[in-house]
Amino acid sequence: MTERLMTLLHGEAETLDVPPAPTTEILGAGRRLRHRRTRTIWASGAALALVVAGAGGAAVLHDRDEKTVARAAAAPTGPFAWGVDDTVYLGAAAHAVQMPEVAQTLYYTSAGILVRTNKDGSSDGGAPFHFELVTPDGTATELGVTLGEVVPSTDPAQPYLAWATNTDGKIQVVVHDVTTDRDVATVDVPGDFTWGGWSAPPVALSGDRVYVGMDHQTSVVNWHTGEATTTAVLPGSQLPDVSGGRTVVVDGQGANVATANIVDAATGADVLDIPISKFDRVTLSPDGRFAMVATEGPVDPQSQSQAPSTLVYDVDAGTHVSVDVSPFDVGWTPQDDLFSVHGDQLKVCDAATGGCRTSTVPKATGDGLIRYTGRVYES
Amino acid sequence: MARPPSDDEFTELVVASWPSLYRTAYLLIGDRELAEDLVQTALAKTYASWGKVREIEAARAYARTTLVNTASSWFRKRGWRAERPTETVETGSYDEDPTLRPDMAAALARLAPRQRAVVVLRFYEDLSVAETAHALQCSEGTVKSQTSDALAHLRGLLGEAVIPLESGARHD
Repeated sequence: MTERLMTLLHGEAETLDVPPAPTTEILGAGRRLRHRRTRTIWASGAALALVVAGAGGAAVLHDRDEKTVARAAAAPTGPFAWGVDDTVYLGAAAHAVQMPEVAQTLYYTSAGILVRTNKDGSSDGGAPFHFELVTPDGTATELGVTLGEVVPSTDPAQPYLAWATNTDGKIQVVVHDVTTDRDVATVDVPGDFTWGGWSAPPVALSGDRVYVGMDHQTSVVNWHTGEATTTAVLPGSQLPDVSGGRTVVVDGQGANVATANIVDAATGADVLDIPISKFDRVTLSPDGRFAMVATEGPVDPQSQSQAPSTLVYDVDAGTHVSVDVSPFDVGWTPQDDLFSVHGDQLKVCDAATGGCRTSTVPKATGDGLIRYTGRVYES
Repeated sequence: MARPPSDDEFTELVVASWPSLYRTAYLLIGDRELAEDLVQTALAKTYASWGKVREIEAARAYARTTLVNTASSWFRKRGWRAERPTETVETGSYDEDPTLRPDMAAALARLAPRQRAVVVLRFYEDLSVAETAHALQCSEGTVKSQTSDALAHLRGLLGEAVIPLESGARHD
């Protein structure tokens, strides 16, 4: 007796003009959901430091619909970490994990923190590089991977390390599963590579895709299918930096007033435009949800001191806050908090509110440079 | 945990399931933008919960369940629109002339969110009382009473030609 009602309901549904599926946004939101937990807001009240883009230049937000899916919670992941000399310190408890060499870069992966080590912590001339996988319980396992002067990459949402090789001009991308310590893909990349001084082109791993910085273009390798294409989103002869499927494209590079566009690396679609000066450099958090503006030029003409704080943009919300950390001495936690260590003081700051808290940690035994998770140390 | 789908696999799933999920979402919510948000959220949650989904073949059903659950939570937590008075709505305006199509969307908009959900799940998605109760996380008795109330309400709005007096629950 409800057949007519059913017919009408189906008729109503069928007349709908269905919008196209925003596949990239959904995939990105799914990844972020999977690898983030609900943020802990330490600051009391939203009014603390949340600043809607205003004075000093307005950020332009695109694709606001994505906010809905980006707001939801996700499961927690492992701890953040920092390295000093041959020791890696895990989380707020600073659990010390011994490395066989100096910790040079600490990468997030879904299997744990992957530590690139070498003889002295240098990136230029520092080869050979080795890798240790540090799981959240503090267990370190050496991988059977030795790399030369190349720029490898991980995706925090995946258990893989990617890099490029160069054999007599033949460029290949290798994807290595850090949980099984086995290569899972090797893909040829057409094109020339001569720039940058590395032995093979730098890469960025994001999802199924490996972005490869060739001479004349950035190549995109789908390592699942073996397909290699090029992209117009990222130029050639540039170190690809793709986080959470997003990258930074600067419009007006070198000009006094320029714009850093946060774009979808796959499509080039604009997500957020950030006004910057010629001294500013914008980098993304490992999952691409936040962008940090580092002023590389002298801030104070008299003291020549650099910025003691940094602007951090919530890419999805289009808001920004000033966070009381130096952009050159800070890392990212898996939950998108910023953290820095000075002596026995650990400062953790909420990137959404700018609120910070400090705790005491055991002082590092070494006195070398601090290397933070979520940052890239290449030259 | 099951291996997450490749980007291409998941994109294929999104493209294939989007139209159907969007239609259901619109009928549940009655707002195009919110329907889009709802489907995006459901699909993102599906990706994030791949350990439970495990197989791409099961993902469509998981996404649909997640969509209904999410809509249900919206009804509960977001102070969803209260039921509107019906005094000003024309009633029984439909007759047997098929060119005079009843305004189904307007009629659905007059239902309380839970009643609307029950109608969509039972008479569009063709779920049983038990399946509807499970989806909405309520008792079967509540589904039956909501169905009865919703049909009575719709009968007043659309006329007995659409909702005959003897209409009752199917496949209880």
